[in-house]
Amino acid sequence: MVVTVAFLDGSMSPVGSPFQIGPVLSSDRAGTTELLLRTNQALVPATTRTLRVTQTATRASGSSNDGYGDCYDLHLDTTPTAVVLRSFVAASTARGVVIRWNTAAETGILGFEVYRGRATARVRLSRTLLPAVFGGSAGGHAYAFRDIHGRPGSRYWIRVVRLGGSASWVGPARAG
Amino acid sequence: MRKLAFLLAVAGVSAAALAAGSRATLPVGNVLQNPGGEADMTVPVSPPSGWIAGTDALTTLNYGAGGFPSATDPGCPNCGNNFFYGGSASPSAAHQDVDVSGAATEIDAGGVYAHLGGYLGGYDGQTTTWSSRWRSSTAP
Repeated sequence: MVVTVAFLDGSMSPVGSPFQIGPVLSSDRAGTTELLLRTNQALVPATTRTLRVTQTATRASGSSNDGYGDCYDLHLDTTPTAVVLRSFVAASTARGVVIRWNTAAETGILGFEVYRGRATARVRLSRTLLPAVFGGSAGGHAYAFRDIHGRPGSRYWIRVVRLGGSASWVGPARAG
Repeated sequence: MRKLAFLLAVAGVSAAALAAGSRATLPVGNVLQNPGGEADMTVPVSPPSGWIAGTDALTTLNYGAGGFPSATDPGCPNCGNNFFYGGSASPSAAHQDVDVSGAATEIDAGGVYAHLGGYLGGYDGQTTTWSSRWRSSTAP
């Protein structure tokens, strides 16, 4: 499933470039049935008067078009979102699990903490805060963390810590 | 509303900050109708209410239907009863238009951002990809 936002002017003609979330492929889900959070943002081009939001699912295998979507949220603001994770995945290796995440922006972000477990019983893996490379700015960066005790199927979370001390959770990502 | 609050929290934006950072003419909160299929009281239904069908429309279905995700599968907290899925056709699509002309002055001045979030997924090892009329101008 992909959700796309296109910008249209007063004549319903496209303005600028659309942006999207997704797809979430089988490899992102480690072959399991689940839905993963995806976020994105874009500057609304001048002359935009309508946002056209389209969700599209295309079957690549199987007999049913099993692209799923839920909990969509689209809102407008005059500031970029503090942090946008472009991707958050966990992959099994010969030495545990490697967790990778990419940010699109890190405005107001101090750093990240990595956790393993269920939402109600997370275990912190990163002993210290992993500092945001572009903390406090609109830049994005790629991060990786190895959990040597991780196994296929392990679930991981990122705790995003803001400059003011508040934090929010992103996840889970399941190790494939 | 619980869904919206969660997504805002994940995005690192509090509802209070959102309100304080926005001017009066910007729409406040989630501008989407039926953003998770919860407005569809009878399911399956296609297209979802508030959404306009493509050539082949998406469907709203309830968690727990045979052969589909259950509410206990990993996904969005407070996911409600329903979700969207592709249906039997491929590709399938649905869209809705959001009028933002009330914020024309701020949009034309620059500095208005659109923030999109949502939970996306699929079934077991099956892969769904995507195509849309905007593909040519959007990096996958």
